[in-house]
Amino acid sequence: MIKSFLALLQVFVLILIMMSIPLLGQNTKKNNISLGLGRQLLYIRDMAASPMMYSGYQDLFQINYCYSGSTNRHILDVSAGRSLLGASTKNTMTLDYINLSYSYYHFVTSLIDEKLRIFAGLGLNHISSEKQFNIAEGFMNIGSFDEATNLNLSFLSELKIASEDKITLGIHSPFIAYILRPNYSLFPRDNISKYEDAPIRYYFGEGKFASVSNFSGLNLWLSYDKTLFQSIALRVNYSLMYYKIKKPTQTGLVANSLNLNLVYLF
Amino acid sequence: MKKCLIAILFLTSLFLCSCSENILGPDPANTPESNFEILASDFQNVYPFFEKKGINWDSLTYVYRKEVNSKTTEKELYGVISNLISNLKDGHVRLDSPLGQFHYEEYFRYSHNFPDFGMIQANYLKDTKASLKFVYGRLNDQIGYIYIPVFESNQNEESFKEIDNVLKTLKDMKAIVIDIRDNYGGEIENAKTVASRFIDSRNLYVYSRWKISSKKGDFSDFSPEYIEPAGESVFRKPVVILSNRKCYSSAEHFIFAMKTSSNVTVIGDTTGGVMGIPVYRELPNGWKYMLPRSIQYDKNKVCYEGKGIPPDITVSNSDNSVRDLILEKAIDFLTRKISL
Repeated sequence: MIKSFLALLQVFVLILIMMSIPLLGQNTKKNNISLGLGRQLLYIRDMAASPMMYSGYQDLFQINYCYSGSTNRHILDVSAGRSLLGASTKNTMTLDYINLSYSYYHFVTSLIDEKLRIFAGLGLNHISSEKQFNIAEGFMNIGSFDEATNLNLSFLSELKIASEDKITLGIHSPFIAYILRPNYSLFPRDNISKYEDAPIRYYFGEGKFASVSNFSGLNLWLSYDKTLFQSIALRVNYSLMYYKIKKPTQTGLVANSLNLNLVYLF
Repeated sequence: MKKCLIAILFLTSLFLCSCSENILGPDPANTPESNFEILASDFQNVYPFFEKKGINWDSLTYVYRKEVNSKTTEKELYGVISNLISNLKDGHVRLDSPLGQFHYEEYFRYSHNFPDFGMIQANYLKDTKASLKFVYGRLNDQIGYIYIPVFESNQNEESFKEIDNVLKTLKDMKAIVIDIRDNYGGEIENAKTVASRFIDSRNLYVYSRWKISSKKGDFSDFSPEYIEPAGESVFRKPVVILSNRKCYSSAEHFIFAMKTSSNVTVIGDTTGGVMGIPVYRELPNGWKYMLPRSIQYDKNKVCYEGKGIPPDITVSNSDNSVRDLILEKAIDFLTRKISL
């Protein structure tokens, strides 16, 4: 899971660098990077291990990069967290969760004296969750994982309040996904290492393409940016996300999160 | 417009917060019928040995389902489910509830073939030492002895690396007896940790196949598993493993791994034949149950589930014996092998 995360992070950082280099010489502050911490309320059900729904709060760490052109937006976002969730059976589950996304938006129209700008585009999103079900004490704990890389239709609206202050609403709606969820995705805890060792093999060897009939999801987020100093802003970010995989065994996650981000404008 | 936007988002948030059950589905009902059905269908979907054992699960559940209704008490449900899963005759099938723990106990009726360890220590073993997971010493000036009662480590994965110190102590021995009689298993990784000190090359030692749907015979391809040399100390001289019918699970994986070396001979009785990798599940009433998820095959794709791994040399202790005939056979075998 960690190796998988690092490999994907490298790809995203490369994209970021490629996007940033030609822009860094410009005078206007079109780029911003934010670091955030927050809390997330999660609901998860993984039929591979249990028919019960697990829920609980999770600490969340988020990194976000945004390039704002005159007619486009590039947004790169990484969030990750770990939590202990509980079910009505009093059993617990440890969840590691990573969400990586890149979206390109193109300007569509503006409203209200150009204060409200609407964008539409495409996004690439990768969700990875690894669960450790603490159903039985001791060594018999079990794990399960699923990873979904999806292309989504993306919409963005920005409402400018002051010169740099704004409210942003974004929606991602996936329409095709590549899912890694082996039929035998459930395994005793000590066997997890063999999956960590070869994530790429599974991406190309055992994953399956899925349309909305087998993978559905939605990510909706709202953020408020308030400029504090010339190059520093504060962002409050609120997001609602769900995804659901139906086959080979049903699993799904609903996440409701609130983040506070420190934004560096350059 | 700003107020409108916030209002829309607020309403959407409320909708998504309240509909987690609509998206993920509601929890199943905690009724006797529901608990029975969840367990029955889970075994139907996951349990890999119905065909190998000639069990018609549909027929079994049809019979036992009649004993479950909304008035069934927890004690009665525990009895019905225990009776149902006892038909599988599988040591990796278990039910844990506040009322008790059910697991298949027929294995305990087999001939024991393992005397009290105190007797071995008193009559055969010299310079006995013990570490967290091993008891070891010398049987004579040439043959060492290691007793491994279990491969469980309770997540202390380092504890089995003590084998390096054990082998340093026994490095002057010309042969070693590894006694795994009554070893009921534990983590496979621990069995591999020990075995990796006795092999000299990377070897395929087991194949796994996983049940991938409820359809009959719908399994994943043969997935090979390998054992590799590791550790500070390696012992490449003759080794005898002592086995009996109470060697299960990881202890059987240990035999598979050790048998990739030509130096290893197994003496004693056939093992228990409980090799499917098990996982735990839960029911809405909080009970837990264990069932195997996979079929294990040896390197020749032979499955010993339910039958057990036969030894290379079969020796039986009579139940009243004050001598350990299996251990004596091992000493005799190794003494002759050393002298060749």
